[in-house]
Amino acid sequence: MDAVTVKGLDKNMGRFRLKDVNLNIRKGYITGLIGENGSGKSTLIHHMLALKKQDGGRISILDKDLEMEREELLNRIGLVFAEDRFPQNISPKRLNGLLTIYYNNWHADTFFAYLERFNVDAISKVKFLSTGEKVKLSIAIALSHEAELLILDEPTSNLDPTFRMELLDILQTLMIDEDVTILFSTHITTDLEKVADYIVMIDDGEVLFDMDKDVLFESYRKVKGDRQIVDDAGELLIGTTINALGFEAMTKEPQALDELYGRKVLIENLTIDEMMYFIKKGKRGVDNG
Amino acid sequence: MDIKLSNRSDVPIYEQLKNEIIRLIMTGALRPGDPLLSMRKLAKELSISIITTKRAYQDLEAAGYVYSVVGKGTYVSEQNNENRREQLLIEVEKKLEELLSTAKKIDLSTEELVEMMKVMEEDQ
Repeated sequence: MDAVTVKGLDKNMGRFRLKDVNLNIRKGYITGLIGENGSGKSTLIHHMLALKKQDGGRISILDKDLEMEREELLNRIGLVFAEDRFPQNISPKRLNGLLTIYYNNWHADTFFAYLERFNVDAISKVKFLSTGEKVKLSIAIALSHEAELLILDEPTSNLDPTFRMELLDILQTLMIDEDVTILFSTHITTDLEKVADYIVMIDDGEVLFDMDKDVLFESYRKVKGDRQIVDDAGELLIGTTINALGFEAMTKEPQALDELYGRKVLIENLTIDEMMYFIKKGKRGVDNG
Repeated sequence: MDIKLSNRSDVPIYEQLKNEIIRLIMTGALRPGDPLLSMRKLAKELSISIITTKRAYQDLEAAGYVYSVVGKGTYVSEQNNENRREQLLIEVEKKLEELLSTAKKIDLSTEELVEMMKVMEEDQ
């Protein structure tokens, strides 16, 4: 079952375009959306909320067509953006009044409980809150209207590590309910390495992969070794860097390398950051440094 | 359930989790018929992904250690633990034989082997 289905999404924005994006966000799981700044993460999310009009393709959310049922769907989606989208001259307390009208299932008690837990002053005007506090306010709202789908666009960039851990814990608590789905875009990939179930990588407007996280870490490994091996093993290596001490690359064939070269290579786990680095590098070709 | 996982180990998390639960069953900390935490609650408790706990539970079920009841949860199988222990022991013995014959080729003494194992255990 999918919470979001994107089919053949195209959008030309001049210098940048989304190219035939096909994507399924599985219901009941946390999906991490990764990619460098400018890779198209936010553009994709804006389309998922019908904030932008596409040139081609279809998006359905929670089994409904986004264009046809946008109003209802926005009620069922909890949104957290890194940038500030609130009216500046009112307090969270007054905001609560507006949200009661906007959301069908608004829970004021939950909202104020989160504000207190997050240490966000409910009385001071939004414009006097710090960037981090505004993100916390936005998270409190997203968690207070029985959203079935949470879309978080770079939520953790402005948060300190302690609160980031707390947020991950809150998200995992929500996931105990099998009907909740989370889409989490971030460039702080350590957050995702822990809790994400699926990882989608987007680069230059294209989906590079969409994989089960455990399978991803099993299939992509880091390999180091003697520089003599590089020519011979060329086809098994991605994004190879050669220096005076040897080479470093990524491989999708760790088993084959181990069988071929045994002790001459060292195969290690990769982080998501390293994965992004090698994939980008692989696209540019071998660097003989 | 007392479960310890290491992020720094080369052993994948689902494999570690599987081994920990087998250990709990073998040592009797989990008895036949005992319920396991739901996959989603366990994922939260251990701060790991749901798919990771799901995979460990599926593997345990395939190996007969646990069984699941749709809509209810996962339980420890009514199994003959003596038999399973016996099987695991045979597995250990087989691997030890292999190890000894390899060690012999390079004239490695049993004391040295034990020393290597101790160092490995500390590293894990």
